[in-house]
Amino acid sequence: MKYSALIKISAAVLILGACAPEITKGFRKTGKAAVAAQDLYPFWMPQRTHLFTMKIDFREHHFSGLLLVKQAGAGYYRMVFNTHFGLGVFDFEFRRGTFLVHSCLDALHRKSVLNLLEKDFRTLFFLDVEPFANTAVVYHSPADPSLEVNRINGRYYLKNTTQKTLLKMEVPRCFNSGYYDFSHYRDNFPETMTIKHGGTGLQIALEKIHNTTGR
Amino acid sequence: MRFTISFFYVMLCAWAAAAQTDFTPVASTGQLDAALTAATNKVNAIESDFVQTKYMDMLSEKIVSTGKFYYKKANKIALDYTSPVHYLIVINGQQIKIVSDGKKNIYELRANKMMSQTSVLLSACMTGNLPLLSKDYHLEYAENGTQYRIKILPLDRIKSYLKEIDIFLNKQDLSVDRLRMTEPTLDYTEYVFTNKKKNTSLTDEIFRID
Repeated sequence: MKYSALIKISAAVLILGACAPEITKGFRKTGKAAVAAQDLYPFWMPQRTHLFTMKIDFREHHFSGLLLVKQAGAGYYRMVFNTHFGLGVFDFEFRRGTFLVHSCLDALHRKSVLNLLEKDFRTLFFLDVEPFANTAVVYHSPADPSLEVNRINGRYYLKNTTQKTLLKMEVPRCFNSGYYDFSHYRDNFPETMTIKHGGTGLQIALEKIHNTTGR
Repeated sequence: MRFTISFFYVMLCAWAAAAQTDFTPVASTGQLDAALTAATNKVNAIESDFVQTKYMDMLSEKIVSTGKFYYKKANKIALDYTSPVHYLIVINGQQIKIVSDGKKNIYELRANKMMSQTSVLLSACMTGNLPLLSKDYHLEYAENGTQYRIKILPLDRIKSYLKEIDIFLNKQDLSVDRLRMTEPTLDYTEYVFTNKKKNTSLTDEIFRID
């Protein structure tokens, strides 16, 4: 009986440990605060078009192409992914409450794939955060006072308050957490972004490309 | 009087310009087919620069890529992209190699009918070797003063991602000047080929798969 209880407790501890966010390791909870979306240093600029190479790695498979992202209005993003050869792979539209698939290659037009892409990019576009008055649990790093983590609705945002840049995001899930990294900032925009899913081994990497829209 | 002359002059210029760009149906498609077959039989290799422009209608945006195009008889094609990023596609027989960010992926065309069909379509379109195309396509021929335009309409499942292809052949030597691939969404990708060189001695190294 005691042995059985010990196994159950151990299993619960292991599972809870697996679900704990990595982003807060080394940080201490210091309280709560009202946080606006702007306080997370979102980098997408209105009416701007950004071009990236997007590389998707899933186990032994590697796929790449060109991703065009346009913030066409407040809380409204259009995202078009083409192969390097020019063929359209998908064309998605994100708004706060909706996700519209304008087009998608048959091979990717599956609920599981679309759900994953929708969640990943909705988080990337900060569409999960209200513009104002989000209640955030705040964590600070004893080692570096400029670093701060905000937890809002189960999502974690690591920011550098001195440089006013967002460094990482984490969306913890027990077996398929999403880890977002932002680096190589230039003109307040991260030129390198990665999204990794520990459970599935899926990784999406974006590298910004400059001045190739023929204008 | 002066206004009348000017008006007719402008109309004449507009008409002359339109005559150069407007396409009319080709009188004898059989003759053109024969000429294309003869022309492609004389070509063992092609080397050219290309500019690829992807137009996205709803976004009013375009993406421009550039690179070099290589073809060697009978079934070797390479597209070596130099901007905005380095990217390489090589088709050699029944194999296709894609190199992106230093990573190489090799696919067997035999294992994927759609990929195989697309490969044949691209080879035919980029080299002007239209007799390669099977009954799975409907072709429409037209011409103007300087070019032939051949509209290719896929009839099989390729039409799920390619609505139509327009090939513009130079009348002087029947080489491909321009290629436009239109998707069902009406977005399209256009390739313009320049500095074309025929029958240069291309090494097999360019088309190496492994």
